[in-house]
Amino acid sequence: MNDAPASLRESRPPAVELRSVSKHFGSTRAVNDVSFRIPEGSIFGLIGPNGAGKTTTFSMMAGYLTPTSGDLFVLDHRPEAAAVLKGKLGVLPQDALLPPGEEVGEFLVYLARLQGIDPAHAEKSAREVLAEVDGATWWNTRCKALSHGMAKRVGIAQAFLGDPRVVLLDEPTAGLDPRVAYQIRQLIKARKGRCTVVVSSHNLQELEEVCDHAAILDRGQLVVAGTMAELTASAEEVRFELARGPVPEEEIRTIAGVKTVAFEPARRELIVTFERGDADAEEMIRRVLLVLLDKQARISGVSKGRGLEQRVMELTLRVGGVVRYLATAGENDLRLVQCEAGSSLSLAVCSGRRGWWLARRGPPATMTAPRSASGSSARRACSAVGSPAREGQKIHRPARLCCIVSWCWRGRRRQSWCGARFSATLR
Amino acid sequence: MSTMLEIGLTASRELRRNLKSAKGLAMGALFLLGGTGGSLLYARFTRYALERLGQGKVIPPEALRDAKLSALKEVYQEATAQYLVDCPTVLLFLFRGTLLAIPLLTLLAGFDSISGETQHRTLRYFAARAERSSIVLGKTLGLWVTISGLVLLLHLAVWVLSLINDDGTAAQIASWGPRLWALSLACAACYAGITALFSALFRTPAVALFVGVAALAAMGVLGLILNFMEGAGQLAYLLPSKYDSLLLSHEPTRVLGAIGALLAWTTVTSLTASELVRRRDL
Repeated sequence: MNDAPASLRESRPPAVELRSVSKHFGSTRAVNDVSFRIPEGSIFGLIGPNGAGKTTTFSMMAGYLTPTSGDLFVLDHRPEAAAVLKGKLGVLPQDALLPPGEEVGEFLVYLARLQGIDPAHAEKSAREVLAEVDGATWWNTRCKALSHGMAKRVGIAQAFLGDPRVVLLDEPTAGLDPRVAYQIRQLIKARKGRCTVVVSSHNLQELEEVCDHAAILDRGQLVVAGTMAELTASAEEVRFELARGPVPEEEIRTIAGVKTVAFEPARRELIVTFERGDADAEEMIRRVLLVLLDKQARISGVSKGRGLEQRVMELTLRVGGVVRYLATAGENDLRLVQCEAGSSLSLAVCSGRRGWWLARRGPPATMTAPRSASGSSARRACSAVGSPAREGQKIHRPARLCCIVSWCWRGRRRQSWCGARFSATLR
Repeated sequence: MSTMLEIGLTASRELRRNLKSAKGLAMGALFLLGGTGGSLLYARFTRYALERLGQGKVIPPEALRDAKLSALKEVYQEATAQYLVDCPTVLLFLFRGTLLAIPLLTLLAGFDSISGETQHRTLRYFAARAERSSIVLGKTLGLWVTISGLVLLLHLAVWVLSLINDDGTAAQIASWGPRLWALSLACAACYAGITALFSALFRTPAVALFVGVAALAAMGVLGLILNFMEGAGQLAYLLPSKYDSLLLSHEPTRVLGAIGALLAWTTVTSLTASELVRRRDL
């Protein structure tokens, strides 16, 4: 049942759990068969481009929208169960207007009382959260007199009111000046471990800084979910930006624990992947740096993994020649989601009901299936696709690929031939 | 207990909101001025009519009572007229006027209570903290309290002016004034429920107001038509306006029945509004 990667399959109960959740608005599928779990105590990012289904997913978690199908639980309860979740769930809605005629303090006290804080402490709690967002002086200000940024901060204050166990924040720093945005990020980070915070945002740098887990959505479907380290591969990949000089690829390959070494001339970036068990990223950076310095290489930057922004771009957007293409083949809905330059074809196989199987083509050992009902099925599916793509290769239009797709559906293994017509151009 | 607390908190917020808003203040002022002015004009007109009737002489109280009784018989059944004859006419006029104004006043005060907060998604701030049905019921209760308070203010003003102008004795005003005000509460509750339903039906306040006004007008016209149609008079009991005259009946059972029917309207409409909001995507 659990399609989440190992990192999200933790022993402790999740704060939020989505099981095959879909939401349709008429014929539009805003969210389609999304499943993931949000570990308690984590700061979880909900990532995706416009129209990815982030806000719809968020709204379902907050109980504003009812899923068309599937199950969604917040602290083991349905989010509509306000009586049970009262005081345990705080939400910052994206576009909800504060009541214009009410004073900020009066409004916050009302919310505090509504969520069960006793009258003696309601005002104290309200003043505390307002002070946390640097708005202590707005107590008697009418909400209609607040600027966009001030209103946003009042919204954040009310979400943290009464120290709820789960806090959902939709675009918490949108429209805020950098100083206040920084304060809000610190506020979120300070809650780490104290409560579960779910942040939906377009600001990937912010999410990378704040979150320890994330889910990437695209076109209403879950592309991948996992820890930030898994998403950015920061625990198994280090990158070195080299200014000029020699690139000692061969010497680096001999370093203990190094798995692959690749150099991208266009960006002058040296990418080193390594076995997680042999060394951590910091140790690997040290080892590679020693070699680079020894070989007189000029280093202009070092990073762990790919960076969330790059990862999201790869998975969801057409950027820099990385082509994202969807092709469907009948009921089995075989989808080629991405052609990754220089590496391989990425495939997502969707059975329609079981969600996505995302995999990267290549030797089975290097393939990943972050969200798969059956990882081996996905691997088999991918390995059945034609020859590996190479950098600069063009797949002519229309190309036809056939593969054997086997998948698990309702506990039974099924197998089918799928044909997919698609066109794609690799960088 | 929690539900009651949620309803109570929401009702008090709604009351504060109504009393602090420019719309609430303007409507309240207009209602009070209009009601008090109308009642004063009526009292002055009655006095003038009596002076004309007595041709400058003081009419004996018995003759005045007979004249009043015969006038009441034109409108009410004899037993009801006998019952109402001791009520100062200005209070009767005020009561009928109040019942006439309550539907529109309630609609104007509350058409945006739910639709306004749905349109701007303000309800989202409350949805995770309280049952949606509690919020709707709280808003309905708040609206009812607002209207009832406003009606009480108007009635208080008229009671005082009636005493000053000698339109009734202190005993008559103390007996009939609170009684008539209490009866108007049932009517206010009924229209608070109806207003909550219209407000919950639509996401846009202007649409809720437009449809609400149209529906009230249609109900009024339908009530008139049904009263004049032979054999269809019973159908008029489906409309709340039918119970206005029953509230003044001399028979306690009929009064209680009318109050019960108005409260049934309140229950059905406010629960329907709650269910609509509960099922709706916010």
